[in-house]
Amino acid sequence: MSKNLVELLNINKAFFGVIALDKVSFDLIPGEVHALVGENGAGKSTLMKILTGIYQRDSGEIVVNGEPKEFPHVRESMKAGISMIHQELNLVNHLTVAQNIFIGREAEFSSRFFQNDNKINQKAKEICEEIGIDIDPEIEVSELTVAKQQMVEIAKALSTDSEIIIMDEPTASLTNEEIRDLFTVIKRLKKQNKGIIYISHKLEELFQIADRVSVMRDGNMVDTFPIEEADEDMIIRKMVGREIKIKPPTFDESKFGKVALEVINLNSGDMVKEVSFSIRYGEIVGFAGLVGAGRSETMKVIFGADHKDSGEIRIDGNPVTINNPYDAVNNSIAYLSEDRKSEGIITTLPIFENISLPKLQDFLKLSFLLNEQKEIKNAEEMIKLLDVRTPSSAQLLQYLSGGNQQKVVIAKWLSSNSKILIFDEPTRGIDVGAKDQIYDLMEELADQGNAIIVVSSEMQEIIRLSNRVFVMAEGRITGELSSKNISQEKIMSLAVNRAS
Amino acid sequence: MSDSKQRLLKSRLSLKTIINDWMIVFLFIVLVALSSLNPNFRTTTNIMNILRQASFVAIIAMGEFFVILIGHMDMSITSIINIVSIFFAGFVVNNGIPMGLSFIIVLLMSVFIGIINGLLVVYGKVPSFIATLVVMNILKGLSYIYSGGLPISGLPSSFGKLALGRLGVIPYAVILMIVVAVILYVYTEHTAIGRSFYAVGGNSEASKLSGINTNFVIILAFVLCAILSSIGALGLTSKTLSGNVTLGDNILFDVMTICVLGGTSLSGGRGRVVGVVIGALFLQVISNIMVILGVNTYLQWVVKGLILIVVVLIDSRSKKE
Ligand SMILES: Nc1ncnc2c1ncn2[C@@H]1O[C@H](COP(=O)(O)OP(=O)(O)OP(=O)(O)O)[C@@H](O)[C@H]1O
Ligand SMILES: [Mg+2]
Repeated sequence: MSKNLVELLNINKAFFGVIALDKVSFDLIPGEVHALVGENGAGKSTLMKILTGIYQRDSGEIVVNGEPKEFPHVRESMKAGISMIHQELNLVNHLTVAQNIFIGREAEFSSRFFQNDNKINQKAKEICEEIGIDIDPEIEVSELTVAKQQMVEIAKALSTDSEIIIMDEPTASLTNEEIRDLFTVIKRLKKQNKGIIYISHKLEELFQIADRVSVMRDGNMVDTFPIEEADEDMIIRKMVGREIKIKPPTFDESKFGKVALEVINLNSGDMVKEVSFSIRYGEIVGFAGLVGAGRSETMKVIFGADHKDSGEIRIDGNPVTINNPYDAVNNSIAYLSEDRKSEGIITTLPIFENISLPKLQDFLKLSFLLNEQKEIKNAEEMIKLLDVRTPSSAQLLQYLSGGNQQKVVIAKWLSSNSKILIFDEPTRGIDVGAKDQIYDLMEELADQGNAIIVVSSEMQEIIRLSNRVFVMAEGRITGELSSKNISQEKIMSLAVNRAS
Repeated sequence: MSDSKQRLLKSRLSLKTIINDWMIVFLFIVLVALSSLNPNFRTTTNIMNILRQASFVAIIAMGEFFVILIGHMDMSITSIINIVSIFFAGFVVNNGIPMGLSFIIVLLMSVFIGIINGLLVVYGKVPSFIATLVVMNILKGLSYIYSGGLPISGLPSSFGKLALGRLGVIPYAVILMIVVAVILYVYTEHTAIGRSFYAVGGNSEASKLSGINTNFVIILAFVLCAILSSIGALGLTSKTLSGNVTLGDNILFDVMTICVLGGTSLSGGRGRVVGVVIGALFLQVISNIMVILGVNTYLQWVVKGLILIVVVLIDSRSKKE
C-alpha cells in the first residue's frame, strides 16, 4: 500500500485536438500542502478537474488511497473524499449562505418531509466560526461581496469533511486579513492529516503554507520540489522558462494633464458616503481598503451600474449625467469589473466578439454592417499584446483558462479606447509574468495621457502602480497618500480607521 | 483570417448546431425515402406545398427566436396572432378601412403589445413567462369582446394571394419567408444590434457592464417577436379570407418546437435564424408524412410532443459536455 493520498500517473488530455495535459504525474501525501503553480493556461485547473471527475482523461491513471479509481462524475470523487474550491464561484445567488454550503446534502438535515433550515443554519454558523469568517448564514449570497462569496465557497468545501481538498486560486479576491484566516484553517487541516492541493499565482503565499511545489508549463509537469529548496526567482524561472526583471515604477508629475474625472460628494446607500476625489490625465490612482470598504461600489456608481443617491460627476470639468453604463462608455469611461464570471465575460461568445462588445460602432462597415475582419484583426493584436493562450481568436470564452479569460476582459476595455479607465482587480488570476506585462501596459496607457483608477486587494499592486492612493473604510475615503508617502503601514492604518 | 473564420464556424458548430447538421441530413434522408416510396411526394407542387405551409409559421418562429435568444419566453404570440387576425378582418370587412391602412394599424398594435411585454419584463421585473401569459389572456379577452368569438369573413379575394398566389412555381408565401429570413440573418449575424441579442442572452449583466443598452435590446426582442407574429398572422388569415379568434391557438407549441429543433438554446445566447427556418421545414415535413400515413390529429400531437422532448434532451446532454 502506498502512503499517498492521491497519485496521478501520466495523465493525458486534449481538447478538440489541442493538448492540454501531456503525461502529467502528481502526488499528494497526508498532512501536506502541495502547491501547484504555472502560467495561465498551463493546465492546472484541467488536471484538478480530471481528478474530481469534471473532465475525463484521455489516458493515465488516478490512484486514491492506493486504489485505482474512475470518476465519471463529481459525485464519485466526493464519495472518495475529494472536494474542490473552484477558481470561479459556483454559488446559487438567490439561496442563503447556509443553503449554499449544504446544497445537494439537505437530506442529512431534514426530517422525513421537511427541510430543517434551523439545523442547516446552526451547522453553517459553526463552520463559519470555525474558519473564522463573519457571515450571517441566513443572508442571500447575492448580497455578499465577491470576497465573502469566496469564503462561502471555502466553507462549503470544508463542510464535507473531505480528506483531500483542492483549492484553485482561493485567495485571488481576498485581502491580506482574510488570507491570514484561510491559512490558519489550512494549517489546522494539515494537523488533521488532510492533504491539500493549493493552486495560486501569489507565489509569496507558497513560502507561508506550502510543503512541496509542483510547476507546470504548457501542459507538462516541469518539476516538483520541497519548498525549502526553492526561492521565488527559481519558481518563476521554472514557470516561464526565462528570467523576468521587475522594474521599479517611475512617475513624472510634469507629464500629468488636466483633471479628467472629478467626483464630488457621491452617495449611494450604505456603501458610498460623501466620496470626493479627482484624477488627472496621465495619472494612475489606486484605491485601497479592506473588503467591503465600498471601493467597487463607488466605481460602479461612477460607471452608472449602480444607483446614485446624490453627488456630482465631472468629466473634463463639465458635469455629466451617467444613468447607466451605456452613458459611461459614451463618456469615455471604462470599467473592468472584479467579478469576471458574472460581470466580465460572455462565455457563449468567441474571444473577438467579447473584445469588440463595448465599442461595436468602431467595427462597422457601410455604417451598419459589422466588419468581422476588423474585429478579428484587432482581437489578434490584443491576443499577441497580452499573450492570451488560445488556439484562435474565434475560441469561445468558456474554453479559456481563468487567467486567459481575465486577459480578454482587459483586452476588451483596452479596445474601447476610453480615456478614463477604472480597473477593479485587473490582475485577478493572472500569472506573475503576465502581471508585470500588464503593469507595464497600464503605465504606458497613462503615459499616453489616459487617466487610470486601480482598485485592488493586493497591496503590492497598488503600491507598484499608483501615483496617489485613496484609502477607503466603511464607504468613506479615510485618507489620501501621494507618491513618497505610500507605504503598506500607512495604507493599513487608514484602512482600519473607523471613519469618525 | 480565413483560418480563424473556419475555427469560429467549428466552435459554433461544436454543440448546439450539431443538431442542425444532423437535422439537415435527416431531412434529406426522409425526403429521399419518401419520394422513392411515394412518387406523388416528389413533385414540385408537393415540395412547394410543404414550403408554403411552413412559411408563415416559420416567420412567427423567427419572432419567438429573438425572445428565446435573449433568454426569455413570449407566450403571448398566440393571442397576438388571434387579435391581429380578427382586428384586421374587422377593419377591412366591417369598417371598410383599406387593407394597406388596416395593415399599418395592426402592425402598430403589435408594436405596442411588444413594448408592453418588454416593459413588464424590463421595468416591472416580471418573469417573461408570467408577463406574456398575462398579456396573452388580456388580448384573448379583448379579441373575444371585439368579435363575440365569431369569425369575420369576407376579406377580398385579392388578399388571398398572400397565402395562395405564386410567382411562376414559387408561392408568394415562400418568397416572403425567404426575404424575411435573409433580412433577419444579416440583422442578427452582421449588425451591431444583432450581436447585442447574443450578448444579452449569453450574460445580460456582463453585456450591461459593457455599455450595451440591455433594456432596449430586451424590449426590441419582444417588439420584433410581436411584429413577426402579426405578419405571420396575416398570412394565415389570408388562407381562409377570414379573421378568426382561434387562429393561433395551437401554434405556440409548434413555434417552440421549431426554435429548439433549429438549435436555439432555451437558456439564451445561442441560435441562428437559418436554424429556425430549417426547423420549420423539418416540422412541416414530419406533419406531411403523418398526414400521408393517415395519422390522426390527436396522435400527431403526441408525436410532436415526443419530438420536442427528445430534442430538448439531446440539447441538455450536449450542454453538459
Ligand atoms: N473545456 C475546454 N475546452 C477547450 N479547451 C480547454 C478547456 N478547458 C481548458 N482548456 C484549455 O486547456 C489549457 C489549460 O487550461 P487550464 O484551465 O487548466 O489552465 P490553468 O493552468 O488553470 O490556467 P489559469 O492560471 O489561467 O487558471 C488552456 O489552454 C485552455 O484554453
Ligand atoms: Mg485555472
